[in-house]
Amino acid sequence: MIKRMISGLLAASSLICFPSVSLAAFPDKPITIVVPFGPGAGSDAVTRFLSERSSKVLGVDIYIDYKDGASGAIAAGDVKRSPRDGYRLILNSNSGAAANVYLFKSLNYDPVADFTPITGLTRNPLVLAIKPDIPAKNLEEFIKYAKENTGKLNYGVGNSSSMANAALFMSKAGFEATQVGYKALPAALIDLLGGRLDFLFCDPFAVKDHVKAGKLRALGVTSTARLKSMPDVPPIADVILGYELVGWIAAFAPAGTPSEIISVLNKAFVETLKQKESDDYLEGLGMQVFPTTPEEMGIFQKDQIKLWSEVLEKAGVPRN
Amino acid sequence: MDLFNNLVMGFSTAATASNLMYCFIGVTLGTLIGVLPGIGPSATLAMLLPMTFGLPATTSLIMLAGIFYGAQYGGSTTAILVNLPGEASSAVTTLDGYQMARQGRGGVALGVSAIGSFFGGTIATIFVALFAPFLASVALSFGPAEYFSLMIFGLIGAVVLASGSILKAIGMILFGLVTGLVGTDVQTNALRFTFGFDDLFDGMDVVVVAMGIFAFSEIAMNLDISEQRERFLSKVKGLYPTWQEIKQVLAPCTRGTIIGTILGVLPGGGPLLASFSAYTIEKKIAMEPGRFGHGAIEGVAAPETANNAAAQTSFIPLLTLGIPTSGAMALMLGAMILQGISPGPLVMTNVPDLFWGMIASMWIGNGMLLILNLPLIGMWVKLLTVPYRLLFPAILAFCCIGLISFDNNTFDVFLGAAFGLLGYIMVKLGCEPTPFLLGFILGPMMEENLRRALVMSRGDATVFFTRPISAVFILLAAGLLISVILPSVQARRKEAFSG
Repeated sequence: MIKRMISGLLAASSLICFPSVSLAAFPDKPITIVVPFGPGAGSDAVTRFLSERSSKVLGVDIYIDYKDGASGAIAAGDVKRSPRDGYRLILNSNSGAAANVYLFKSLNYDPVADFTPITGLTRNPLVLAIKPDIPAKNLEEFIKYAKENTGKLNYGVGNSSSMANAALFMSKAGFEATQVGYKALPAALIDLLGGRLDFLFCDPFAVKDHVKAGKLRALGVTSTARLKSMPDVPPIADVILGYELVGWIAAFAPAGTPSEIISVLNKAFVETLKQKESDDYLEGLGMQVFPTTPEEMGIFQKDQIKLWSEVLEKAGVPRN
Repeated sequence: MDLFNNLVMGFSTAATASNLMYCFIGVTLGTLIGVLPGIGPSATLAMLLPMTFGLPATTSLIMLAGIFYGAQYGGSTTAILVNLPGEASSAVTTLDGYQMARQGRGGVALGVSAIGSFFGGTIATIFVALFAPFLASVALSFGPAEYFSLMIFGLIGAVVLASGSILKAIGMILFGLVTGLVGTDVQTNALRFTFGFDDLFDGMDVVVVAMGIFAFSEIAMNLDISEQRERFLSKVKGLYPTWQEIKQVLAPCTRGTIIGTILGVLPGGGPLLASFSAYTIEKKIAMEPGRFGHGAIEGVAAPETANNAAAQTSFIPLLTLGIPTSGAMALMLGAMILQGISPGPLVMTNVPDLFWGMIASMWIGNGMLLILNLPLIGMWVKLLTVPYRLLFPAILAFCCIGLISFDNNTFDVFLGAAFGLLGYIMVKLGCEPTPFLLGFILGPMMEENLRRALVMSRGDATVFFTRPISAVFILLAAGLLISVILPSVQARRKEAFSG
């Protein structure tokens, strides 16, 4: 009996709803957003925040359906087969909607042909952090140091963003170092803090306090704009002209969804992103708001597929 | 007295009516979840995370933490009564706990495990309060070389752990190691042994494997051996442990606490490794190791104490470094981010009421768990009166629900079934599943760390001997190995097991 009550409670709690007022035409029932990660993942905070706020703009509830696993293929496969009515959407990232094209030879979805972009949501720059006993106070000094010690330094990678950034950075700066692989960035951060790695491209919120406490030094950010949460860290592009490689999250509907529906959703999400609270909240997490038109997002995605493929190939990442 | 002031602040935060209530809800849910096989703390935290958004940050973390360590209490219940580990970390409890239940001492085993858990939990919390920053720096000094040597030590311990043939034990460990390789290779991103299944890209989860080889195969064995399962209940000898028995487990509990406290801090260590290690060490130092596997009370007390101590100290890297060391801790980190707290070394200075409030709530929560669990023993033992023909379909159904809820994925159910078959074959061949599981858990971690250590040292294998912590583990492992291999010892070992 108790077991039954518990499992019932658990089943009920996996659905969360937000209060809503119904409107005429689209949307007139709750919208489900499928995400390719589990609850509590870094992107979950963004998803919850934006869905809660957009639900107020749209006037219907927004549910989040977590479908993690298989590098995003499960979530993408689900939404690809969903009705083209705008009620089942996917949040996808530079991994699932771009880098996977290179990483998997046979992907069960086509990130361009199977989906219609709605808008960009956030851009998630990484910060280049080094261990503090390296005698380099800024990026120029670090590049000089790395060139003098070419082949002697170790760096960690924990996802495709950190790997691609390290590869791009080293090729532009002109030095070589040894890559150490991790399942996720937190484990790499431990080895950076323990002095066993020399540098790491890592999420700003994860390194911010370590930098403040003097345990790490942050030398550059991978976006062309500075982060509001770490204003002292200059863009890498200040030293290496044209450097920009930033992860992102964007919203997509199944391909063939009517453009009127896409435009309603686009307006709602963009309006949400342009609220000051959204900007403050996302900047606090080290992210930047990324509102676009559906067309801009489509062009951006195609460019990104090319860029990530080139960088990953150059980095020697095998295709599966 | 800084610590004193901090604790006063902690208790005044934790002891508000709403925080006490949510702490109680958390530990109660945790216990019940722990009892259900397959639905582990990670899955529960994931499901309940959304419910905590409306709560204040401290309250929500107190509740989520309660679920996590509460599950360590509940996990032993089914392990002892029906040989089903409710949590992976209770797998080792089945070895002696179930035997105790067969001898009519199920209540005693449950009592000892609840008391041991309380003991381990409260002592480990003192460690968290006193030494959190220091222990965090210990965790930082553990690099790939240290991990690899620790795991070597663990695996050799697993050989000692096995009670049957050494050759079979080694075979099972190696089989486990190989099975653990399925998935994406961390260093090169290449796929290994996935046979085109998308669902195997991220490897197989330990819960799925453990449920298959322990739970499913046990059910098959029970149905196989006789139509009617042994009736334990006719010979239940007292529900609660006697004073004598409590005195007997005091030393094992103390050792379990120490092991759990240390291993809990290490990333990738946690309750699972702690319970296995505690059991191995108890067996190694016991006067009559032959009693282990036949209902030795220390074999229940030590691992149960250790896994709960580890559950408490696994919060240290999260709270002091902002680094999650397990799936469940990653969810706690997610909860902190969702609450707008940036996890990292400044949590203790920026939000001291949260930090100390959580620590104080762990004491309160452990007390609640003891009070909650002791009366429940009578109820759980009654479970054994349920006829097996009714019990096993229910267990199977709960296992399947657990497997699906884990990843929202039916593939895991089939995988669990396949491991059930495998486990059944293993038992039929006289091979123990425990070394297999340990190999499966340690294999991927060992490989990752071995390669990472060698990449960092540019292929120089002497790092394992030149780094002091690593060298200590290698020496300990060598010592263990020699004690197993030496003919005289081996003769004694045989004697012990045949007796």
